[in-house]
Amino acid sequence: MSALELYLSLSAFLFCLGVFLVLTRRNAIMALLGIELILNAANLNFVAFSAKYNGEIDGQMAALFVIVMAAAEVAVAFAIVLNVYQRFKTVNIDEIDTMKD
Amino acid sequence: MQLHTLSDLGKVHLPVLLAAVIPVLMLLGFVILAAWGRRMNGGGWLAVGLHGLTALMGFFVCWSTWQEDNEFLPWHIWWEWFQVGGKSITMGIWIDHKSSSMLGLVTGITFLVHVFSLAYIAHDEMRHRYWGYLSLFAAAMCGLVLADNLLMMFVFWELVGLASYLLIGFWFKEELPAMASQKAFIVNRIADAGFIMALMLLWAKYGSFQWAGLHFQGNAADTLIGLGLLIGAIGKSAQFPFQVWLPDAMAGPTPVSSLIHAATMVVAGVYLLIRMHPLMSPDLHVLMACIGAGTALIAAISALTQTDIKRVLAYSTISQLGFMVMGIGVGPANESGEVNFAMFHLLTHAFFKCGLFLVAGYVIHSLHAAQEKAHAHFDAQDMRFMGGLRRQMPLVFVAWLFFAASLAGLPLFSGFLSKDGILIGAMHFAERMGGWAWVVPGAAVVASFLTAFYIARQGILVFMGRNRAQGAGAKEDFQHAFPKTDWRMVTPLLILAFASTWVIFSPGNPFHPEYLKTSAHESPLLPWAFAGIAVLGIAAAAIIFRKGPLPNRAQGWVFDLSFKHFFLDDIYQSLIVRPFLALSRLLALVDHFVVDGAVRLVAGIVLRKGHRASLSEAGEWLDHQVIDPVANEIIQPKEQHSISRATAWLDQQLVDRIVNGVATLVMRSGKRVGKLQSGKMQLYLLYSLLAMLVLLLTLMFIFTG
Repeated sequence: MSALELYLSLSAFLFCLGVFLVLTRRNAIMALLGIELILNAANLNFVAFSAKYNGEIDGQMAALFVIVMAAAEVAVAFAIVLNVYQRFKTVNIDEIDTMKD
Repeated sequence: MQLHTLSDLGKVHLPVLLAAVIPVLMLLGFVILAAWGRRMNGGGWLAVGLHGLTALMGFFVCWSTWQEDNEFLPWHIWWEWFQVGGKSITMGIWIDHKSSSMLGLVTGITFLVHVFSLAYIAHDEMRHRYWGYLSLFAAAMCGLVLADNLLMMFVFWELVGLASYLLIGFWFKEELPAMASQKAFIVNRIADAGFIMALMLLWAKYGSFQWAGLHFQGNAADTLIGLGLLIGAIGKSAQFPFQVWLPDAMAGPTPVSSLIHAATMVVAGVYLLIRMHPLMSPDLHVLMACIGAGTALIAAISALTQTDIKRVLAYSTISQLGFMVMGIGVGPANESGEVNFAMFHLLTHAFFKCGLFLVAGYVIHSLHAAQEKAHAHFDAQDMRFMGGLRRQMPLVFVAWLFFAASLAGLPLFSGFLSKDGILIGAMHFAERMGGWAWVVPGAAVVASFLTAFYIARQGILVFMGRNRAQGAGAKEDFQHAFPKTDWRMVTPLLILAFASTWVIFSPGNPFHPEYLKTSAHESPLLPWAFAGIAVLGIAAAAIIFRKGPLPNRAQGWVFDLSFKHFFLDDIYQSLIVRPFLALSRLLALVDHFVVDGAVRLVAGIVLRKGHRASLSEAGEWLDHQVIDPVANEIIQPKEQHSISRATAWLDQQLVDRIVNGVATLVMRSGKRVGKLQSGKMQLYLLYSLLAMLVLLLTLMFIFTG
């Protein structure tokens, strides 16, 4: 495998791991961790393609941008989790189902 | 030597290779313990074995560098880490006397703390985490001292911060440790901003993170870089005004405190300053001397009145770190231009302070065990309820005597060698600067008097006199409830006691460090004068506390000033924390009334309009006003009867059935589909993921044929 393929495989692995976490964990915080993995899988792709096809640092800049955005996302997400906890006294996603039909 | 491929490793000098392997092994230990620690019954023996191995390797690296003369050092290897924008960033390992001594120190003390912890943490449910975090902590510190450039150092610097956060908050289910770990992390983060800015400036000015060869060239950028590094270092090393996190960090397990205060974490800042001091401008050296001397004095005063056995030691550490920072600040006073004495004091201090904390841990641990057996309940860390413990733990008491003598700076002990060097350096500094600068050595001398005083007070309250546990409600048989000597805990203490004497540091001459070829000790009387000051401090404590702790009424604002560490926490609380919380509350109100209010307003308007123009009303109006008149106009009343019957039949048989059928269909399918909307978000995500997959596959088929 070439270096690029290795990076992409790792990225795909991280992505699948993240999706798995998001879909299966009952704890909201663990699901958030999964989202972080997904974002970083995308970051890895940005950097890997940038290094392969482009001498510039466009990909790295995009990755940095994603990192900053992810920090904001985490702040908002944790605020939501805190509010959810205050209202429902749990962060178990399964027990928070008032949006059902 | 630069490494290009893995096979180049074969050409590397053995000690360098071993040094590089140490942090890797420790990280590996962390991974193994994190993944399988719980199944290995905590994995304590694995951790102890691993750190025993690394301690041997660290000792070997340290020994082999001290066999070499300074001119054949450093041993330096580096390799490319990554390239960005055509610039290459390297990682490397730099071994000279300083880094190898630090490596030996870190690995050795970590091993001893591990052995001690075997008994201390044996019954904790989460001990697998404890062992894993300890390995991470040690790995980060080893990486930090071996780094050959500031970027790599910063990476490990942050890892050290993370590991300390995890360990301080090890008992995170209780409120105090959780808050303390956050405090440590946040205060360090503020200081680290200085480090990051220094890194950016360094990169902008020199295009490299290598610290070798950097020295002050008299321009503003160098001063700013130095200032940034200084801010980072005084955050990590708990110097004024960032020292507030360290006393609270006592909330963690005691062996962890021992590790934090001796070998890892707080000495990282001092080590950074020692590495970077050639880049610091003369002004910054003066600033360092002032910060160090001031912190040493403030913390020593604060240690005088503490009642918690660990808090005394915490303030003592801040005070001793102040001595080291001051030693760097006054450093260039020595003719060699090196800051040997700060480094030397770092090494000697690590052993006796680690020992003092482990003694505190032993005392607390035994008291807890005795309390459980005798059904007594009082604060096991409060020295006012101790006393006379030398009868229950004679060996520990002897070890404590060694550590305390070294801290106070009595002759024949390691602290005597290093602290006097710093004090004399400070006097040279004052002579050179003249006038006001005598405040610096003055503060240091007062601080060393107070050091002897507070450590003697601790010894008297804990080990001497009669046991005061009965005053706290314990029964008379309490004194016989103490557990037997646990050799897993006592052996590390005895080793550390040996390391607190002159033997390791200056085997040939107990009164003057042989390795340090400086002219600092030119006046033979000064060291003895300092030793005399220490004896005075001990004597004063012995007289004042001969009848146990002072009664509570002997207190006033001076007592409060000392007990609350000059109200620094309260000052930060009212100057920073409260305004910040007030601002947050204000923003929450804005969010609630302005943003949410606007949304609610729009919703209200839409709902009200919707009511008025409801469809049924419109339909009724249409029926009465339009359809009825038209129908009556077209069809004559006579024909209406038969037609209406036919229509009624048609209506019932056909139209109603169709309508009902459609309605039933919609209702049933609605119920079926409605089950999809379960309120469970993860199911929604799964649906959209499946939809995405189907879409992607379809697109693939379309475009690839």
